[in-house]
Amino acid sequence: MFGFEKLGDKMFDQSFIEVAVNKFAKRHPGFKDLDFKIVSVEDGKASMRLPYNAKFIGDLSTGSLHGGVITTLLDTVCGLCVMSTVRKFAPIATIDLRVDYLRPTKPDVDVIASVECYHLTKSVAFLRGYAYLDDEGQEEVAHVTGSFMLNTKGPSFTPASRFSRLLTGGSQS
Amino acid sequence: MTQFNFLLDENNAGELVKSIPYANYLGIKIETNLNGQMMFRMPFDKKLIGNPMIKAIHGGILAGFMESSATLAVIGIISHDHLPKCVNMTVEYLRSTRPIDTFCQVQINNPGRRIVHLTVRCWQEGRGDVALAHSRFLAS
Repeated sequence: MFGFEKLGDKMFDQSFIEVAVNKFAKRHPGFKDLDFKIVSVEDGKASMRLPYNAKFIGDLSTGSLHGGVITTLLDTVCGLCVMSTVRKFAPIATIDLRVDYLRPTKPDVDVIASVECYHLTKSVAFLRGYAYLDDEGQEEVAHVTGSFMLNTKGPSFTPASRFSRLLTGGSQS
Repeated sequence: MTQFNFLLDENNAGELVKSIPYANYLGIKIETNLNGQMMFRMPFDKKLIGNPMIKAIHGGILAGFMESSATLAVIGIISHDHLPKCVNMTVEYLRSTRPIDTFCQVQINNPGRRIVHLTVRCWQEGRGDVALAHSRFLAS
């Protein structure tokens, strides 16, 4: 898996990011089905494409995608956007995500989600963005606002601070 | 209440879930708890993982589960000849999930004529509540 070193401008190298994310997606059981593709990664901005898939239909009578898969796309692209803002593949957690569904999607049309990080503090990133249809009209289908916690518990087990050991009586899992 | 019982019939529930491909993809099952209240189960599957290092379920998948459950509950409680539309949804994540089955329960706060306001509580066994969602659905 990735090291969590600061990547700097390497983060915005399209070929690097694609290789890194493809490596990640290959090992990732969930993304194999979802098949998200990166469209662009910039400083504090990211966008991703969801190819149309009949498995994710929400309403069979119209062939429009289910809101849940749009939310999954938005949550994922928000995660990538946070990483592009802090310029490292750090573990993060969603605190809160609000999605407004503006209109249903069209059958056989991909959805692109584009988000930006409009504020960053030491421990929380605030994001907003939207998803739109990838056809000539480019109509917006959903808007998103979210906040993400930075530096959450990841795979690296840093020794607990003396203070937390004191509080929990020395039992640190 | 008749509509509610309609959903608790295993065959009806299975057919309803199948009619929504995304709910079927997540493998949602409709069950009852000890008090006879309707609840939804999403059996754990590898494809639901978001963070492969701690094997937590993807936050977006969790939101999709809650939204699908809310849709099914609205169909069950308010009679429909078409699918209710989700207007918006706010999901608050309380703690990280484990690679086990996830449950949720839908509480209709205001079954209005046009807008249905509801709250979804999502939990895992031995873990407590993992997420809460507030949502509005267009019923008409």
